[in-house]
Amino acid sequence: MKRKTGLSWLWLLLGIAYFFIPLAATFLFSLRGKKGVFSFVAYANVFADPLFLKTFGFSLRMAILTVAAGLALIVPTTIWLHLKVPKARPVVEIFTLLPFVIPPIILAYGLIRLYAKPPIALVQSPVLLVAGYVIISFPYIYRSVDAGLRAMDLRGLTEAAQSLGAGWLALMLRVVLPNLRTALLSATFLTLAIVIGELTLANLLAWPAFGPYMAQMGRNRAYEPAALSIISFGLTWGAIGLIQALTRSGRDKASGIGAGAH
Amino acid sequence: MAFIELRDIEKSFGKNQVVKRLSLDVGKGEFVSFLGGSGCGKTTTLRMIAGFETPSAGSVKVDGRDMSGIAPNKRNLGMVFQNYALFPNMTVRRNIGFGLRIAGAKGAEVESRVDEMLGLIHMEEFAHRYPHQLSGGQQQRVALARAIAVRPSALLLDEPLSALDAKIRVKLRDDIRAIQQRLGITTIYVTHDQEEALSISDRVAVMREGRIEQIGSPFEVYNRPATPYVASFIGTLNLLSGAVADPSKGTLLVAGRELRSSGPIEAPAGAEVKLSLRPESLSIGAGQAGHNRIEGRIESVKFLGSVVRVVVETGGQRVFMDTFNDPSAPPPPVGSSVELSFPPEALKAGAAEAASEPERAAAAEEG
Amino acid sequence: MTALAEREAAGPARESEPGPRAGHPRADVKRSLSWLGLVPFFLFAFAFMLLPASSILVGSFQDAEGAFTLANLANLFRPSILNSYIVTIKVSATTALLGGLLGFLIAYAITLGGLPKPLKSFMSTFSGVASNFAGVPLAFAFIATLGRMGVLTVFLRTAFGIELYDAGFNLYSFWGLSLTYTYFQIPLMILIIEPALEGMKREWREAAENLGATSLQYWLKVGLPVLMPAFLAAFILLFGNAFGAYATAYALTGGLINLVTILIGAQVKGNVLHDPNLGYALALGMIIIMTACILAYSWLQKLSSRWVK
Repeated sequence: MKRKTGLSWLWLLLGIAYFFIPLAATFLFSLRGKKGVFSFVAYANVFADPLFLKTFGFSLRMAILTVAAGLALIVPTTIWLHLKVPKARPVVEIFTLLPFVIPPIILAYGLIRLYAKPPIALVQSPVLLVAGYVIISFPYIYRSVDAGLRAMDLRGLTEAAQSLGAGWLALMLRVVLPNLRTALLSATFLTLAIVIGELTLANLLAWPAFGPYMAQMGRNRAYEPAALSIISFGLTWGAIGLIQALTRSGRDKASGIGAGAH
Repeated sequence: MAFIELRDIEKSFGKNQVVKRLSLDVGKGEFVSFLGGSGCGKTTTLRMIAGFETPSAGSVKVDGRDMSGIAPNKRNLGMVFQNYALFPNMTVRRNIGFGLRIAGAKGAEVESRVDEMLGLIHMEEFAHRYPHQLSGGQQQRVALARAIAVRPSALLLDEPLSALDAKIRVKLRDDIRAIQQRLGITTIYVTHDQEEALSISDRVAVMREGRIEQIGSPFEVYNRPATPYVASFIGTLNLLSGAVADPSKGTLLVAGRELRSSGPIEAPAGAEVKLSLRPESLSIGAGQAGHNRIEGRIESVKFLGSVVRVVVETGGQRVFMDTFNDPSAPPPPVGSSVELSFPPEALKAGAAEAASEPERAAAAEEG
Repeated sequence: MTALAEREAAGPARESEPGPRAGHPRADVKRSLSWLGLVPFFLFAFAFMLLPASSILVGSFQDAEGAFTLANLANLFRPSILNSYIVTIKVSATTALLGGLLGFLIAYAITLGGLPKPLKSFMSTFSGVASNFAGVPLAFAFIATLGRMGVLTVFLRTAFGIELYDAGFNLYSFWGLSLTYTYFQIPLMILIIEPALEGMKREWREAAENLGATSLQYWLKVGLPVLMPAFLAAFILLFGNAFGAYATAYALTGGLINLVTILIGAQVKGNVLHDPNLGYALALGMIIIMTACILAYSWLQKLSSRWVK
């Protein structure tokens, strides 16, 4: 028994080392902005760079649009699916998993090939970027919403609410959406975290977004990229940590498995 | 000499003492049940015998051999788990043969023993199914066969039926008992279901808070409960309160009537005491001479099948009376007055402790 | 909320509809109407996912003039292209194996390894973060750690006199990329395999012990066989995850490593090749591999969920 726990500790420590050494090293590296002393000058440089705020702001706007469009599309669809056409669930599920099969690079390639020239020239418009982001975030949003709906016994609640005289609108606003709050927040934060740092689509569709900005920074500077990395990690940590805290308090299990932004 | 011997065993998890100085002898071929509510230490005790828990103190002996320091896989005790614990990656046949193969038995030997076991549980045609293709009852039968296949020196069953439907539960418990008697294998059976324990055991050990409250044959435990707890836990029990009239004669006043109890009462005259009375000891009418009689109004009648339970209100107290269903005589109408009688020896006084557990008594009433 | 509005409009209309024929036909109408609620979703997915992907598919069978050809597929076997597939498969397999193994051991340690409970929820949370900490920031983190001037590189030099780069290590080549990918593969593995490990019942182990099996025998005959489908499924998911990764490699090597995704990226940006149809073929090869991955994954997943209920 003792020996087994010992091995467990070993694996855990190995894992923690793999996770934290690069983080610690990056943090130390980011402090080297000034020769000979530790300083936050790299961070100051990052924040002072007008491009930082500009690209970050752009990506944030895109991310918010993605969340809005994604939720508007997926939430009604999923509710409808649960209530009216449960038969169609496998089909929709496959559709929401397809973005795992079609990597962003392929998606970007196809979008450009299809929408670069008339009749539909969308490449110049952020619509195409947001649409691509919505596709990328399909799995995350659908899984959260689906898990949230499963956890609440939608059919039972609907029937109960209807037998109490509630109409569709009251049902949605007072029963379903409040119960979905945790799931919606999880989906929102996960999507924000993924979209803000996204590189592939933004890069190939040539938008001045945060991802390409960071990549550019990596070519030209030494210490600022490390600072950016720490900032970005902090943002991801904040978003996911918030989700975990929410889901734990909200009981339903919508985990943040990610495989899209690499 | 006892086949399984528990001597003053104790078990603590952190500060929580789950089993307290428990001693027990189980004879060879005997079927003993540990009966008790959740957290009474019954499963922990069983797991200490199996070797999955190490006693904090005391000793476990099986067939005269001290088990301390012997790993579970060297004890040769068959165990059946509540959730079946069949290996999901193996067919029925391979599950049953697992222990034999581990012990190094040869192919033909394994096969013939497995066939024998399949016959014992009447599941020959399911030999090549996987556990997930079986019902719960079938899985548990396979688990039983798997445990018996290695010819263990004793069989340990940890709530084997509590995950099953009521009908299958009754059928399977009879099967377990029949197999146990056929093989003459020493068996310890853990359950929280009193009917189960009473129906299949040679002896029942009623447990509470890490101790054995009473051990005896089902007849003894039911009819002569050693403690108020046992009385209230096993079967349905009416709990009444009355004032002592004459302690030496054992008479009391309940709802203005003088009743005689089973014997002298250890409380002064005039004291309020708790009384217990089995519902089936009551009957409608004046009864034989010398019987206690009470009068009341019928509050409700519950038809339970072979038994009809009549709830009678008497002097502000509620009394349950059980009587056999009689197709020619429908139960008296609700609201009518009725006289009930019962023999003095059915009335036990001084159940002071049971009074501290009204919820337990209430729960027992339901069962 | 478009579907919601549609639903409200559709609801009463359906109720007041005078059933043209009695019985089943009306139910059919109702059913097909309820499928209408899914139209916006399918339209969107069609326009921005299926159509683009199939346009790549079509393109890979066309020449520059749009005529049908198999030449692009044949060109996939050009040494340079073939090589990019080999490198990508090597990186994906290596990191899936490395990350899968380490992730499995860590997941085992926190679920069944007898460690204090809070560690498990901490590691789960952290895995959620770390599996999403990828792309450009991750590349930067590894440059800061293991680059030529990286903190760990310098530390090893000054403290132990180990010259990583003289020993043949290079962050911007195969092993460097693999180590970097492994960073997000480990936590992904932990997240995927944890439910399967949780599904391992304590009683299986106890039943095996009770029947005389040693710990090793339990693992060989029960534990590993039960976990194998889940483990393989996770491995495949990790493989596909690495295979499709672009951002990390792009930021780490500046697009200089010969990976399939990098080649496609360069093709899209019009830097090299100058043969769009070859680019489509590249992408097609990738879609085929990813599809095979996901099919194998869902098959294995079904297998494992069949056992572990």
